[in-house]
Amino acid sequence: MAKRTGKKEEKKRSRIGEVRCLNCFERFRVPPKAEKFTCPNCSWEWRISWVNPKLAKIRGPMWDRMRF
Amino acid sequence: MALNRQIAYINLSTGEIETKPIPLEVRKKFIGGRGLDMYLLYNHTEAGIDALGPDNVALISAGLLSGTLSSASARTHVAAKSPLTGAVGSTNMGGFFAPELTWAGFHHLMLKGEAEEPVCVWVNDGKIEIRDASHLWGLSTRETQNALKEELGEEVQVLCIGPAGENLVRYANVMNGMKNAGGRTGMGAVLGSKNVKAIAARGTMDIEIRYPEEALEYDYEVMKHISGTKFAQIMGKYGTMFIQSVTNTTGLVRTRNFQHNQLLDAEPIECEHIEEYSFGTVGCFGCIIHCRHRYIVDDIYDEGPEYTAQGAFGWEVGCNNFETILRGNHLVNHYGMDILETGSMMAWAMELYEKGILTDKDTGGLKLEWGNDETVLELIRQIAFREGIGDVLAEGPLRAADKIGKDSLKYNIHVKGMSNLHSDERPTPALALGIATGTRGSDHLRSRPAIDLYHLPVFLLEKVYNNPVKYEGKFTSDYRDYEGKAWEVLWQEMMYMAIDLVGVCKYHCVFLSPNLMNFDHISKFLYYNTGLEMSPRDVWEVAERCYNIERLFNIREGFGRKDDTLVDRYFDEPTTRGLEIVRGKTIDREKFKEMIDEYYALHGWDENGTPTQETLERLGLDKEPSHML
Repeated sequence: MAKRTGKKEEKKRSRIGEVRCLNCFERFRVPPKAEKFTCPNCSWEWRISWVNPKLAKIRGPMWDRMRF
Repeated sequence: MALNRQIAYINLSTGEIETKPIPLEVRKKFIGGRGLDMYLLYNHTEAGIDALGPDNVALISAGLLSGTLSSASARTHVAAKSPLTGAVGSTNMGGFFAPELTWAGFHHLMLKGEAEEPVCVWVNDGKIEIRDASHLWGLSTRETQNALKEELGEEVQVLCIGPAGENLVRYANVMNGMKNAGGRTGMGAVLGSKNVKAIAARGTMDIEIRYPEEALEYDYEVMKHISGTKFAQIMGKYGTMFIQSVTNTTGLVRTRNFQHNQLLDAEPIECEHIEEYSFGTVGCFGCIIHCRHRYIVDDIYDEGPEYTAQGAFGWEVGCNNFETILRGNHLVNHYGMDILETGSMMAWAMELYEKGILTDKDTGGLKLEWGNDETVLELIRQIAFREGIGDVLAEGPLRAADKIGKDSLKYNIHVKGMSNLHSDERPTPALALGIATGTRGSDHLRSRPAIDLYHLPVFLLEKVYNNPVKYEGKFTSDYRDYEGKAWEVLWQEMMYMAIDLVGVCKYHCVFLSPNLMNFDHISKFLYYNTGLEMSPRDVWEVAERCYNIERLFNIREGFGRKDDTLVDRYFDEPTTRGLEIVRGKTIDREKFKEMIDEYYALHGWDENGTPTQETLERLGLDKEPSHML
């Protein structure tokens, strides 16, 4: 198998913890093990869960904000 | 080899059994699985027959790649005229039955007529026997399978019905294993009407793979790619329940029937909670994803639950209790009933109760209140055994509305008489078009462009949706738009049909991820495993032919443009909850009409949705029914 290039490795690393904001659709990176994170683009706050140490997903919203 | 698997015609009234090879010319036109089932259904039934009478036929089939070196080729297809809708009856399920049927020498079984007493059809290495099954009548789906394994051998695979199918609940399902269910359109009721409790299969007949080394190598390459996707990793951990993290969070689910589009404070039913009850995940034959959990809750041991159970016994009925989802999932599996239709009918009944259209007098005192866990579980039982209000709800949307009267039908969320998934498509025109035009009724598994929800860049949409046939219009990334969506729906129809022809799981194709199998992959899998040389475009054309056969069946039954629509609530009641981007949304009637017009034109259908003569000739369908088989 061909050795992975440095550029590809860097690209792969950069996707770790990356999720897409459900409100503004921008991608953002969540710090490892974080359970909450605020989208830097639209300021919407999300609860986060980890499928594995590299793969984060949005778990749900902060429910208080869903009441209007 | 796979191409030498046969078809068996089993006359339950006379006991006659005839087997035939499937000619290559038929394979090239319809490939197998769902597509060939639809050809057979169209050719072996007459318009207007009683779906629960002896003139209906029940087809049980494996896809052409079933049991080969193509991974996840586990899907069984069951078809008949639907007793729920009167349209195409068609359901597709995972598990282990289809490969076993293939190894037993058959790809398609056609059950005709009706047995006088309960029977089991036993398919064993090229032989077929109709056996007495009186002792199995009344057993649950799991009890039935265990009893047959004891009688016929542990290796036997069983497809069966439960009490709901025996009681002709119009959305009774067929089951294989604990959780693999062919749920939609009431195929369990069709088997029940024929007194067929089960079909058992056992086979040891080799399938000769045309190019085994290349087939293995290609399968390894594709599976390695799939297992590396985010989708597969998330799916392997939570199953389809992970979808809720997006849909309920955004506001794309229907709650309390259709009154809201989000269940608030839904943390207790989020998919992460499965880990408290699960002791591992399992998969279907040949699958690397393993998308379902085995769980225990008190004295219940089962598999799942899926996203549909989460909706049916969670947000649709206003329950916020994970254990109710686990228990409800178990009961519908046990009784053999479609989760989705069951949840929808209950949610509808609860809204009718809230509005005073149903009263305690109608329900025998059962309080059909939102979020009442005990009511939900009791109502499942009443539907399966047709007791009390359950007897009415067992009839499905249209017949139940007729019995209840008043203006009950206007609150039911259905298309062509089949309930919708617990999703709310008001903010998503593409998904709304998909359910409106589905051949088997409101349907998220036959045309849904789910990746439309991901806000993918246009260049990626073009890459996915212009292969193998190019769309001349424009795509948009915004799921709230109407532009380009008619083509997305049509493309997904062809994709899902193609994957159903070969019997591979939809979760391996472009459905929930744009990075999975498409027509190119199917073309190669077919060649390496069977030697059939079909380009991606050829596969597309077969899918188009088969989709048109489904459409022709429905037209023969009186369906047309008037039925390709949504209930008024989609157009008149704005969404009330969710993220700001989906609040206050309805489907725009005029734009929806334009989408339908474009969708028909892209298909080569006239303004009523009937395939034109030119389209029929192009697809070689102008002489149907042709009775080639």
